[in-house]
Amino acid sequence: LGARLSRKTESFSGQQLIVAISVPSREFAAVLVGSGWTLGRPPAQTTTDPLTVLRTASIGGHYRAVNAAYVISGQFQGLDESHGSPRITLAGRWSIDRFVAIAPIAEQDPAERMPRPAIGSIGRMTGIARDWEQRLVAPAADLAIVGTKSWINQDLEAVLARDDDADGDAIETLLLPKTDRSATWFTRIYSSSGFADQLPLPDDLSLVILDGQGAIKYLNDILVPIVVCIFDRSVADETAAEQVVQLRNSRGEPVSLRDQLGWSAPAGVEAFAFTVAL
Amino acid sequence: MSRVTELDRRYVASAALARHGVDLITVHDALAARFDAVTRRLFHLIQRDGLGVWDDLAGAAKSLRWRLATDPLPIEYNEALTLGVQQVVRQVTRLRGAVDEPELLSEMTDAAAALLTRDPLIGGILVDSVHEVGVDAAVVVAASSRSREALSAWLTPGGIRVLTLGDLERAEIPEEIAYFVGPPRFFKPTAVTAPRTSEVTFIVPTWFGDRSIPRSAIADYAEGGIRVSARLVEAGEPAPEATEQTVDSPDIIPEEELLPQPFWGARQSENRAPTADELEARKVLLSGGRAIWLDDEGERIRALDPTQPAGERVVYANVSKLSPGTYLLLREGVAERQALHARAFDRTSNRAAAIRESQDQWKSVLSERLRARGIRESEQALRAVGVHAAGQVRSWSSPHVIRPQSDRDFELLLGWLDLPIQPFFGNASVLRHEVHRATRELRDRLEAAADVADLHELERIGHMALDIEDPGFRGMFVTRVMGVSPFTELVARHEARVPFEDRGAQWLE
Repeated sequence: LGARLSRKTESFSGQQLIVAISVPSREFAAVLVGSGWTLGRPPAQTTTDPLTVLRTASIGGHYRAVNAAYVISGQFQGLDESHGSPRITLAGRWSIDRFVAIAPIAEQDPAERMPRPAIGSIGRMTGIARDWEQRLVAPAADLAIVGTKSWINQDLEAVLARDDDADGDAIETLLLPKTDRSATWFTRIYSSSGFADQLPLPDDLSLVILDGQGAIKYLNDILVPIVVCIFDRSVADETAAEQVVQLRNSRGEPVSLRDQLGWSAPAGVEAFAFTVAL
Repeated sequence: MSRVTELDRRYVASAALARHGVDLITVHDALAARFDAVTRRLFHLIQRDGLGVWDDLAGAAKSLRWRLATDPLPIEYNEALTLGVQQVVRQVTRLRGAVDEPELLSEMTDAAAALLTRDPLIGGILVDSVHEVGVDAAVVVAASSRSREALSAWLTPGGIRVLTLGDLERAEIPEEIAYFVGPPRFFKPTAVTAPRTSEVTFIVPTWFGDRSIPRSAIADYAEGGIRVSARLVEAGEPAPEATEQTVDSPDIIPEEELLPQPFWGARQSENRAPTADELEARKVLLSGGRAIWLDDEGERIRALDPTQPAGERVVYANVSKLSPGTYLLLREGVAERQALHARAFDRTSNRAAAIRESQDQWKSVLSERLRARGIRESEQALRAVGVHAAGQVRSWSSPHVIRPQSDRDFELLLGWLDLPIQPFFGNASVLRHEVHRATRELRDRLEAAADVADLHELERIGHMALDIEDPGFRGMFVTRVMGVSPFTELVARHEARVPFEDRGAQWLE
């Protein structure tokens, strides 16, 4: 579902697409939809060739770079080409030859350095392994998940692999959540408890996944192009579902998941979609 | 069992129930049917005369009728039934002489007393059914934690596990079939839309008029919507043809009216718009014999979700969607937002007076504008200048709502009021920042208090005080919503959200 949505961001311009799905239990649903999205979203289409980027780079601007071992993020403080191999000052001094990709970023990352995330089985299967470095320095980073944070964090530990591949990928690698230790990230994760005090959301988001009834209550406060609401049927609270149904019936234009998105709900899953004017 | 295996079982069980449906065992028990019949007669009378003097007897009869469906234990274990019968008899005694319906009153007492002469038949059928599949393969689900305690005192020594629907969600469930004691509508839709077992059976008295199977709230609109069907199986004494009811008959009292409900009475307030010191509010009945007046200014109220993990239990509930079962966090003698605003003002120290003044000023200009142009016209005008949340304009004039959520809306609003952006924008934003800060502090304290509180005890009893040392946050307690009034009243602003004593929930389960 996430992968299909990731190709639809332009199709509903001026409108908000809301997809509601209900599952017997919320576990893994949000992070799987989210992984589909991050796998499907191409990285920002800029050049990431280190020397090309750095020759026009402005001192003091924020940049993100990746070499074989690390992702590095920080303020660009100079390029020194006086030696045989050019050196760069960016959260430390580095040899440019070792950099695989570098890109400017709009705002500072929480950390200056993190071990480079490795991609395996799922990366090969989906083809993202081919532009993995580009993704690491210039990801789309337009996904947010709102829900019970400690449960989502548990879900992130699960590993996906194709067939018998030994090098499965943790969902955490595919979603790359923003934490205090991130020098790059794909996904913001918010706890629904206290979410009210974090509104409004940043406006560079394309998809927000509301994981569970506690998060769905905030639907009306979320103005991004696509919202996926995941109803946990094991939770007895019906009010969030009524709220979404009411929005659909009062202001919504139904969208067929099967015909317009090419997705059909697996057994045990209910789903519907609609658009509202933004 | 690993998480993934467990999750897979849930999907399989859910799909199985959607495909095969549930069983509904209807049990005919002449004694219980007799009490049901006289309760219905009482309600015919009430339909004719109105509640009035009948209030308490109606409450006691409904409550006993409920227990006949949920507590089918043998008499010697059945405290709930014995108490229920005593309450009905007591209410009848109070009414003798006050009302002229001697025959109905006698039948009420006789039918109630007869219930204690023989063990309820549903209980026997429940035990037989469980033994048929084996005690290891079946789990019994009770309609409330009180019923669970009673049923398990009786069944657990025989090796039968008894849980509530809430327990079922939390426990590991190796059993294959769940027997629900009571009609489907006594349980949340979760029972059939997110089952933990691949087979589900409800055991229902024949006289209970509503056998509908709940469905998920989105089923009607969804692709793959889950609609669970039911197969009827009859059991118990042979039902006499003559008393067989048809649901179409106009004389039938809808089941809705026969279930224990809060007593709301009728709206007392005049039909007029609230004055500046008043607001429209619904009464919310709370566990522990209390209530609050809840307005919808400010869309949310603080709540506690005991099913969440530590650190994420303190949440907000949408005021307009508040439903029974929600746990509200309240404070003795004062509405929480007043306390938070007071704390926030303290923080702004030397700017407090200026902020207070600037807030009062733009809000009074807004109130004046709303009075002059009317709410609807103002809303349209704001929408026309591009204000997104124009529908909330009335709440923006309230002192409880600091400013519009979005910066752009606030700027456009000030422009529409012919006011300069500053100092109003800056002052309101400082105040909002401080309220958010005070809110975060309160949330941290509450989370810490919830972490050490006995949440099972909370679910069993329905309310408890939270121990917070900080003098600024004293007197917090958490309490379950028992019911929300279907209509609003005009109440004074300072009374809104402040807890008070109320006995409206006394006949509720």
